[in-house]
Amino acid sequence: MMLAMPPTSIAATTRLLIALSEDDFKAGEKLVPLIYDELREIAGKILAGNPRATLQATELIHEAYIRLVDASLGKEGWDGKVHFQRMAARAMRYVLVDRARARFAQKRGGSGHSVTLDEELVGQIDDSDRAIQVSDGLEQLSKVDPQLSQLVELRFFGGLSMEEIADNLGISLRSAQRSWRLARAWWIREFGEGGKDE
Amino acid sequence: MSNWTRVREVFEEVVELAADMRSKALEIACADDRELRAAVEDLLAADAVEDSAAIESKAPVELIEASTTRIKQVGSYQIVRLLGSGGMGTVFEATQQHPKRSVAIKILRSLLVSDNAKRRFEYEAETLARLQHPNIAQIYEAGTWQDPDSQESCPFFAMEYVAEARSLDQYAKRLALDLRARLELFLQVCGAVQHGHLLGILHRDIKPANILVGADGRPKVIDFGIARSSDKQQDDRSMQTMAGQVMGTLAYMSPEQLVGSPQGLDLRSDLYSLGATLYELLTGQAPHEPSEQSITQFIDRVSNTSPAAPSQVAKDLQIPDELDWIILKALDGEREQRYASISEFAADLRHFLANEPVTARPQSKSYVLRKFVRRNRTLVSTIAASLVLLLGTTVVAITGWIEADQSMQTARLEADTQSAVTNYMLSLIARARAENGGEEVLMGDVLAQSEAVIEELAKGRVDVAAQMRLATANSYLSLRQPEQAKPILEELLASNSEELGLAHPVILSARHSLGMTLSNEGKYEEAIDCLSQVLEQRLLIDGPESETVAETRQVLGSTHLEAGNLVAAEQELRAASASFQARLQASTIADSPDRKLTRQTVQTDTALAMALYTGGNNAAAEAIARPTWELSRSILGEEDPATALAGGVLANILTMLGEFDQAVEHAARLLEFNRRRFGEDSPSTLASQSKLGAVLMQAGRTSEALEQMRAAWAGTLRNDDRSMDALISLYNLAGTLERHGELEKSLGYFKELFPRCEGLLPETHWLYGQIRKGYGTLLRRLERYEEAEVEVLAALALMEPQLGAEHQRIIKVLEELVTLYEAWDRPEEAARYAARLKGN
Repeated sequence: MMLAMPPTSIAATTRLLIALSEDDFKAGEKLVPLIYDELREIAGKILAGNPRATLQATELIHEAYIRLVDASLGKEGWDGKVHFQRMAARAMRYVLVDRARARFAQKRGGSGHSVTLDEELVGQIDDSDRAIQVSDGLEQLSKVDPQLSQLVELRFFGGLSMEEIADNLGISLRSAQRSWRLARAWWIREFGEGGKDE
Repeated sequence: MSNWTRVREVFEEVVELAADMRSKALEIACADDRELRAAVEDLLAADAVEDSAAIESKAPVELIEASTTRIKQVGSYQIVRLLGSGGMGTVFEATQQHPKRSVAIKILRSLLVSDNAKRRFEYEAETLARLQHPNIAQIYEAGTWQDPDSQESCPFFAMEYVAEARSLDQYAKRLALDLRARLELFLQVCGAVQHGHLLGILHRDIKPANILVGADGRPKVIDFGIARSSDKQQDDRSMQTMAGQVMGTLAYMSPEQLVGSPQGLDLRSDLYSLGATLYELLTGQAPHEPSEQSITQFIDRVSNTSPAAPSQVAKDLQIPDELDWIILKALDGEREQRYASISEFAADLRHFLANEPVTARPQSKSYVLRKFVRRNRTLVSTIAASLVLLLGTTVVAITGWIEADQSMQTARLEADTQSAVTNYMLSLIARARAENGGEEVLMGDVLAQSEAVIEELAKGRVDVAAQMRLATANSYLSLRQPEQAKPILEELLASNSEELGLAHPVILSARHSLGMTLSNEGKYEEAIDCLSQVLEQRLLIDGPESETVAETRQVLGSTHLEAGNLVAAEQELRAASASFQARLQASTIADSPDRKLTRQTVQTDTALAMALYTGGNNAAAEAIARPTWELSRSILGEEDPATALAGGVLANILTMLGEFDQAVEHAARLLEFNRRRFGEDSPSTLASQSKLGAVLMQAGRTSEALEQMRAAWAGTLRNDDRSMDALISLYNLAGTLERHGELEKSLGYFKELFPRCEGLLPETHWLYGQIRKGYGTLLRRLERYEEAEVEVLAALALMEPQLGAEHQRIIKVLEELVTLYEAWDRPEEAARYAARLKGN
């Protein structure tokens, strides 16, 4: 699944990543649209070969990283990957939310009449709605506790494992797990159990 | 809300503490800040919520429009919600209108392109619907559903919905089950898989996620055989593109399944997956985790290396060496090195639980010895004790025997000796295999095609066709599907009897088989009628010394025994026994007797011993039962059903003779055997559990007895069993409770008992008398003397002509009458029956 690399954006992305620093989060946002496009393109290519495949966030992000970042340009101690993961998780969130919204719009438009709320609840508790729900929830969580919100974003949208999350946030695995429990508890208290496990 | 930073600090400080430490820590951390404490406690409560779907899973990046998300109706089922989607398809919760219930609907992703594929799917679905086991999620219906947008046809299954389900490992983790509890849970799963194998169905996708434990704590295996019904139709996508999906399942697949072995899969492939599931259940991780590897590397590792011993990996449980060996044997890369069947695997696990030696590794002498001593320490604590009430275990043993007899042959074919039929069976298999792309063939597939092959091979010869149909019916009998066999036999007899003549060997054999199915259904009169006619014909045609005559006498005698005709039973069984004994001696060359003949001899003598014992002739019964059991054990082995049942009958006889320790040992052995063979909740297992209770009762171990009987009765109720076994289980419980002084409870059970006898136990059967006597005893103890007198006198009138005045059971009835009249203060009657007792 190795795809050809577009050389221009590699340099651009890498430069942007190098320019980033911990408190320069805003600059990082510039990366998001870039990654956004990349993720969609990668997904599109994979799906063109196999329309029924199901993609995993981690695979996509990893692929995007290979395509967008020339790690050899980094200097010692450079943590471009950390920033990249965060931006990619954000990009993935936007991709999924946009996609879910588009679907909604299509359904409304397509059916020719507006759907009542009840009907929506019965027939459409699907995963695309959850992307929207979780994204909205993250918006609220970020106001209470930005770090927790970051953690949930990395995990839910970025598909990172707890170990990777701990690395990314620069905390121990143990405290990442504690934070995760807190985020989860906050979420349940705020929004309910949200249905059952798969 | 109070300051979030503080809330977070306190939460993270206490969340990992044990509950009792928590409140203390909270007290210190929050001091007087009640708002803070309330906020933290709120979050802790939310933290305790299990299985929330809030944000646990990761976002599934399904970038394609899944058409399934708009589904509102599938067939007659109303979709309620999406439960999940995976590699094979999408699962919904739905409701069915009639009967009103929740079901799970699984829509498979594969498409049914050709008509052939559709037919195949329907056939598979029919086979799967036959899987009925308390630990298998029942498939109610299968059908095809047409996607309204794409017009594609997708297969779907409507299955039992397991409410509040957790996967096996989650459940065990949540309840923090100990090793024993986990193994016991797992053994139920083994029983379910084994049930499928007996019907010739492999599961093919066993993994923790496919075993759900519902609110009632009972594990249910889901998706049985579904992997197969779908994978035929799957397009040829490469494993790599599926990687994300398949990975979850790869970890539990046997090497032969991973590489798509040309020999196909067999039950040892399921065994491997069960082993991997147990590995994860005990250690929290799969034996080989497919992470960060290419699939080829992964396959290589699975095939060529042993996983780490579970004891090395498990964090919370102490896993003894023996258990390591058992699990690693199930997970051997070479299937020849694994256990040969699920029952062997389960048996070894049970050995382990019982502190008996396991087979999972060549054992050194000291190992066996150590185990033996440990086990006998508990067994030795047996206490012998008093009298009475040997319950109607006759029927238990014999019904169990017939069941065991039929399952004795595995789901695989046993070659018939007659060459035409052998050819027939072989071509059935060949055909099924060809249609199956050379893969392994299931018995069900084979038999379903029989008619076409019969027409082809018999070439218009009625006798050959009839013989083939007979073979088909007998195969169904050995698969324990008498309901499939019976119509074939009836059709055969109806259409061929005239042409071939009633004396034709095929016709006689078919009637013999029909007699067996009738006997099995409890239609004793019809069975005896049918079998007596067969016997008469065979005596004329084959001669009194023939094997066919002995076989018919054996079945006829056993049926008489069940029907309560003891004299006729003894007569037929003695004749059969003499004939088999003579044949066995003649056939034994260099001390190696013929196994089939040995089995027939053992079964016949076991039934004969049972008849003698039921007739009260315990010494004669023992003289037959003990050597029979020993013969069976030495020739057929401990694991043969014939041995187990001979031991079971011996248990009854020894109880009557007052040798309680030995009796208990034999009864317990039978119970364990049935558990291994049929699973925890099968009617045979429950019947033998009730029987163990009865023996314990006789041995004076009342509380243990009650424990077994209660468990047996609870299982019987769960199965909604209305058979004779169930009746006896209930009677045992009612009688024992009376003995134990729990009179009101006993009364309740007796009241339930009588309606259950209707249509099952003729009011003329001596066992019915025995039940009335038991009821009379209870009424006497409740001081309801008049009613008691009616019952006990009726019992005497019923039993005496059948069992004879000197039978132990009659003596008990007379003793009861004496006790009753004494309690009632009617000394004259008491003296009269006391005199009768003396006269005896």
